[in-house]
Amino acid sequence: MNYKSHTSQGLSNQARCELFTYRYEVFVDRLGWDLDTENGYESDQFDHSETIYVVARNEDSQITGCARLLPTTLPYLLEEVFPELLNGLKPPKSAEIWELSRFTSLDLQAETSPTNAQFSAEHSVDLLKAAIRCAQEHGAKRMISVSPLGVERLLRKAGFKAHRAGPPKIINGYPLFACWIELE
Amino acid sequence: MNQELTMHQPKLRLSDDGYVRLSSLELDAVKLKHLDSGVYADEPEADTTSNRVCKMNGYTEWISETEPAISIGWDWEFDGYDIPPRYKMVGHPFSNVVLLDRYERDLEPDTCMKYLSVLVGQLCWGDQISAHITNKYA
Repeated sequence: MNYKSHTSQGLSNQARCELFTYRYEVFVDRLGWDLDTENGYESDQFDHSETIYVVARNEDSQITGCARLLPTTLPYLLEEVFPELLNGLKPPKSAEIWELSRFTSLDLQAETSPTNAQFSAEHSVDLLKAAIRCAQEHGAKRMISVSPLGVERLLRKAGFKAHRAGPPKIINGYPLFACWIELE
Repeated sequence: MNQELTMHQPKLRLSDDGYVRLSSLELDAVKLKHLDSGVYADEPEADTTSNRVCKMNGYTEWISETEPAISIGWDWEFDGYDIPPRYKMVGHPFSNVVLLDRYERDLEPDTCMKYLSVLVGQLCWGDQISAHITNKYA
């Protein structure tokens, strides 16, 4: 398994196509998220020239995981779409705080992946570490994320210092919450 | 009357780090309501002869109706071989609460977790989860 980070401009057209197709297959096909998609691609207004991606590929170069990183100085998912997850607090805005979104380590080729799982346990921690490393290289000291509850379990199990930024809410049938991840 | 109501209102303080800080006495006064529960595995282990679920694992989330809101969630397991069959909490809870000591200083995370675990034990949550997941996965 290899983990590579890419700026949006550094992503080739083919890699971008593979990434957005993979995200469609995971988040829409497999997890049933109600996302605005087109032609089997999943991308939104937060996929733009300033977005950073971390992509995991197996030995056959198939994508088996991804993460999206955005500085909170720009509009970001939690701020724009899910501010109610912050329990009344104002969404943070700082070059030292980056948002992690569209995190998944689901290997679509693996026969054992449960249909409701966003993560394959084997490499989700490695992908998370790669995403954190990448965010730190861009100046992040903390990360914030809109996440399903499984992320909280994953973070605790892997020994990360993380906690709820607010209570979970049921959104489109799924419990989501905002999560702080401390990087220092 | 108003004074009595005010006296029993817990003083919930939302900090910039997202935590709600309060004393254990104040937390005891907060009423928690079931928000959601779910089963982790695709297929819970079932007894093939009776087709009854014997083992399963899942999560549950409880929240307050206060402002700011408090949430406590935890993982559970159900073992149908137990007599009587029951739901048991697995590990420590997840929460946005930090408990304060009498000097309004943060208690250690382990102390908070232990207190929250005791609180969970007092909630009588098994029946609520059972009803919820029966309806959710029916």
